[in-house]
Amino acid sequence: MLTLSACATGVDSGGGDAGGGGSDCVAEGANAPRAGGDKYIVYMNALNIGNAWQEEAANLGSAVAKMAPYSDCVEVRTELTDDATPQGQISQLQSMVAAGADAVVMYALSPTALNSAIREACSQGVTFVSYDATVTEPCAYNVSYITTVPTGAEEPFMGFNSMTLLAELMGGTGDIFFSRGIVGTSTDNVHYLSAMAALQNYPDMNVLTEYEGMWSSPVTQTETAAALGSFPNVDGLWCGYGESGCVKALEAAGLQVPISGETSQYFRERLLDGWPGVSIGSPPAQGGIGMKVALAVLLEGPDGIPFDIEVPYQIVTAENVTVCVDNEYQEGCNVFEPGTVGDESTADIFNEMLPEATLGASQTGEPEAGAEAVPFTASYLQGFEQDESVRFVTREACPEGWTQATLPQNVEGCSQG
Amino acid sequence: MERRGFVARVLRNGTVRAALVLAVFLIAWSVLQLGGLSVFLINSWLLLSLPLVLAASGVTLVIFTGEFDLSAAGVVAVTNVLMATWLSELGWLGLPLAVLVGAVVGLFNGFLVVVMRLPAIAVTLATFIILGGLALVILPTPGGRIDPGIIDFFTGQLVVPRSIIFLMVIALLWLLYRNTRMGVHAYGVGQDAEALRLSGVAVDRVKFGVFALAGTLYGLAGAVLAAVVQTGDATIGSSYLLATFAAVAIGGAAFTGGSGSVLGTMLGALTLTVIPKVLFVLGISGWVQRVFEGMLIIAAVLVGAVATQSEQRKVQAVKTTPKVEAPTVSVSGGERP
Amino acid sequence: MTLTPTESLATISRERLSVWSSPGVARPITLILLAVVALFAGRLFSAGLPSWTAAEAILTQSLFVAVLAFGQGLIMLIGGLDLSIPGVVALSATIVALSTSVYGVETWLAVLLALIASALVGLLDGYLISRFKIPAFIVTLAMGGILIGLTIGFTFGRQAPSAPPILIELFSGSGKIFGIGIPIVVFLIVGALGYVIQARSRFGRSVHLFGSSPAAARIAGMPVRRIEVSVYVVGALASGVGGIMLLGFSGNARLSLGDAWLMPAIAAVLVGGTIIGSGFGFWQSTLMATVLLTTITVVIGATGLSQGWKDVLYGVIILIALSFMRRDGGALKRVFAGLRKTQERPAVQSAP
Repeated sequence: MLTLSACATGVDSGGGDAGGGGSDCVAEGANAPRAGGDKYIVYMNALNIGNAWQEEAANLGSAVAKMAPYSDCVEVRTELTDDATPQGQISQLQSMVAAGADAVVMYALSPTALNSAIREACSQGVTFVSYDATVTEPCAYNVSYITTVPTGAEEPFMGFNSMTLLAELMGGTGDIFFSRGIVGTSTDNVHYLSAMAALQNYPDMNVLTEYEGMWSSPVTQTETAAALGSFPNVDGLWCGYGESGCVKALEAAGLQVPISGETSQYFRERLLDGWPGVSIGSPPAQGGIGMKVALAVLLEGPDGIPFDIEVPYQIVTAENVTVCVDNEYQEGCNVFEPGTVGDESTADIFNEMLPEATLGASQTGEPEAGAEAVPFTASYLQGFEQDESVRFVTREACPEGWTQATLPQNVEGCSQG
Repeated sequence: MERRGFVARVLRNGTVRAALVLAVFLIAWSVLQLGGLSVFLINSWLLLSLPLVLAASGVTLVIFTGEFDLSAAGVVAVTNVLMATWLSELGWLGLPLAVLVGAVVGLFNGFLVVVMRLPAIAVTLATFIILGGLALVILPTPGGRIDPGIIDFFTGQLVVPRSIIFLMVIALLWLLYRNTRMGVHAYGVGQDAEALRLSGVAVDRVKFGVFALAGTLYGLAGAVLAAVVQTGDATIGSSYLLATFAAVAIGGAAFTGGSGSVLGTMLGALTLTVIPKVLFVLGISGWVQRVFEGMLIIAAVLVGAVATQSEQRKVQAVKTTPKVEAPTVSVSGGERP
Repeated sequence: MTLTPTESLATISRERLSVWSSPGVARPITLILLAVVALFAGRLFSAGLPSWTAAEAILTQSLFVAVLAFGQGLIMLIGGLDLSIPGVVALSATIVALSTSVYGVETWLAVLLALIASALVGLLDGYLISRFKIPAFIVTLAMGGILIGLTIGFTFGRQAPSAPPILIELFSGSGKIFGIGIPIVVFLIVGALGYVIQARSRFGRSVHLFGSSPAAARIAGMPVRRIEVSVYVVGALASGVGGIMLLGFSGNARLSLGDAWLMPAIAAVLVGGTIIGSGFGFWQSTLMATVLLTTITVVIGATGLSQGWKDVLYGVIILIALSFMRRDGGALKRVFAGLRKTQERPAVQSAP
């Protein structure tokens, strides 16, 4: 029987290593393919809204599933959808489950709206993984950077760290703009609250105006240019995804002030030119990591695989920005060769959790010939389990023995005792 | 000849056309769906469509009078977040209160259009923006809690899935409304407001009532959406801004007012939500999906347009009947080489 | 809210008695005065307002709204609504950026190609709308989706190709002529050109007449079908031009380039007092409405309110501006009428 086994947190049985190989993909403790074939059907879902990040994430996810050893056991179906509404995603999830999906890797638009559909999917034995954005449903796996402590920092939350680093660049004093993403979404809310908390440590800093950049560089540019009209003496900018719009608006106005932004190639190239700034943001590798988590659950069983996985990401400044020669991964490199990829492409394709990632895979969704994936083991993934103190942010619930409390980063979290 | 005439006459009815279009998509879906259509699949599809059906029905009522109403998406957003926040502790009482909020917005729109004499499309665009902002103020991040009783009322099982019962209730209410004095007058306002005024009908009062009624339906749509997605989300309503009008167009109502049926709009709304299902089972994804969606919508409307035109041409060849449609349509429609 | 042709002609001729109270003059003046008031009110929130920098930013952004609102306005005059603006903007911008940056086509040729493609879209829209009497709303909505889809398909995964340098120089706001930003100069040119086309050309007059009464236009022997189709062609061309300008402004052909401009373009036409499907509306009012709306956005941006309250405030101000634009001439006209103590009836009968 399939039933709820995919959702239950098994504590018994050690769980085996990679499942057999060859024709027999189904390991002990794992479910057989729901549709009855000899391959698992896995859906890789992203939004088809002409957004570079979404495509890169989906491409990395499908490329991973097409690599050996997965390719023998898994049929990946990439589902790029233009219906960017929670209602639409509920409908798509139901369609995928009805089409025999064994796992769905999805960029969930709402942390809560999909819950009943996810619960229904889980009850039919479907593994559900949400990447980048998180869902509160307990049977879903969350693969996200939102609460991660970035490499080279000590505190969780991208918003908190990026604002702190911006403040340091500005010498702890000055007036800034705050360019938000889509206001009303949970990711934007966490970034905003935690960034504002960081500002409390810098009493000489002041937000002149905040505006909605919609995670879109043209909108961000328009709004920034308008704000510059009212406040031409701004000293720094905090910008969400679409930060190249912030840079371009400043360039048009002939200003060069510190920017905290995400990870577009355009912004990183400006850092190469010496623009004062800090670039940290959501890694598209999450799509590939989400896929590998789903495949680990499918092929090896859910035992020992944590439900809350934090994806690491880099802090890049003008000091440590380094070109990846030939656009291939080298230790410490974090920007592609200038002029070789589009301005809006994400420079942060490589990630320590996804060594299989290549620029080509992120652009086409196809692995390089002969590329092999490094399967996740449960013990490896446990090293990336979310800290329990921040669990409330993504699950709206604390683990047993913990109670809800406001974290120093201004975000609701959990404390012990 | 006889048979062709019959077919054309049947096709001239916008509701019949919308039903045929929907039937085509439903057949395609059921044939291509792995394992066929289950009650679960149909029920969840209808349930997800219910808010759009309600909101688009409200828009249709306004369009009958020859006016425009863009506020549906705003009302849906506000009532959705209200259900998840302030109204969530009130249990059952939350539902009528959310509907009341919709009605109040409708009255506000009516006031600006009827008393202040401002153009409806502009006024309701402004109320849409205002309400979207209020929704963000009330609930800055998705979440909140919907009363479980209300969730169960809309999504639970009752011999047949409740979604079907709700759709039937809406259709029934429409059939009743159509023959009320207000329903008849609303049509008349869209056809010839001046004539109606001369015959002593309080045209302004009719418009006022229709805006309020439409607002009520938007409020209900927001409450149902809250029950279906079981959460509050200030950004969730925005997709209804254009979808409601697309449903009206597929449903065969004239944007110039005075003709059409809420039944057609309901079918149009269901068509809009079944198209993604059909494209999914066809395995169409990515950019082709958008192209297909657009072409299917144009095709769905084109069926009706061609049917109406061939009928009109025939009618005009026999005698010059007065048209119920607005001058733009009938006059240039008659312009044939 | 439909206006019969006789009524609208009567309105116009009676208004001619007093230049200042005629809606073609009073409305744009009201709107620009409101914009100036709003800009000065910005002082309450920012020491940087009002300033030349702010005015420059406002006029630059007004340019994009104005170009798109021009096409939208013509289409609304004849009772349509163009929702394909984001689609045409993305298509035209992508054609220019892709053909220059990837295929090495000359910029002028790329621009020409983009305009031809835009015009073809308008032609198809117009054909479907006028031949089959499908509501413009649904045709353009579906067409917008199709265009975005095709644009994604055509770029073959090449993300957001770059704009040719000349367009960036022209529209990013960094280029200047005699110390004035080039977009502002273009704004003035667009304003003048729009006035000539809509108010002074034969085409413009025929659009107004067709909008007020297709029947009258037909009786007057006008090629009504051709007029209707050409309105959609001109509308799509305006969107195409807007796309090229936005490409220069933003530097990359993003698909979402036009998304944020659809609603402001519609709002500008409505706040400018154009009554949909009536043939009644003035380009100069729409133009000033673009300035007013952009000013409001900038000033509200300076308030430091949260996004939700900003939206609420924006909507309320639109309602207030609309009440100034009422069919009876609005507040300003009443003021003028009072000052002159004319014996004429100060206001034309309101619409039924």
